[in-house]
Amino acid sequence: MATSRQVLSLYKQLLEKAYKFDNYNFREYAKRKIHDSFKEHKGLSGQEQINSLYNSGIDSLAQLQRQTSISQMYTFEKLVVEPLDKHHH
Amino acid sequence: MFRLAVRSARVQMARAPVAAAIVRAPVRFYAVAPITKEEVTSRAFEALKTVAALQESKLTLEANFQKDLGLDSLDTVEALVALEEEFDLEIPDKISDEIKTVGEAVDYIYEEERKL
Repeated sequence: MATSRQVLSLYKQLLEKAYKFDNYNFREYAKRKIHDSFKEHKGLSGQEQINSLYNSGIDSLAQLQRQTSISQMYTFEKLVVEPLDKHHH
Repeated sequence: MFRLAVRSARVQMARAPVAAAIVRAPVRFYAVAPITKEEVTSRAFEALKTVAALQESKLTLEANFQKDLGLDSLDTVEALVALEEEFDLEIPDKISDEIKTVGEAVDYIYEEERKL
């Protein structure tokens, strides 16, 4: 059974992972996707539905882990929309 | 004989700076100046502005994330992650549960930055 605390913790972990993408487009997409998916099901109350979504979130976290690792193996040019003074990424 | 003269001159030259170095007061060079609270605050505000749901006009140190800035629990997490990324640190769940206002977050970050 997934509690709201666990859901928030999953949300945090997903976002932290998403920031690890070096590529601007991947990073922004991942952040947007995570944000929108959680917001979409914000009002959900059925425990079964919450559990199944929570589990798919866990799978997505594993997927993000793999994809960000791969992403970090390549170098990306900064896009013009990205601030240059950013101290990391 | 000429070589000898050169050698003795060298020895003297080598000694002179050592004596000078002892007299000179030590100067300390810092790689980075310690961060100020104002700097933490302004960087935190900039980072918080990237959170879409946040009402920028109400952004102050006293503002409560949920009551004043119009954020829900998800947005609050998002704001804290944005701060984590800006300052390159991790806020443990235990502490992030207790952070309710922007000022509390800035205080925590300031304390953490000073430890570095």
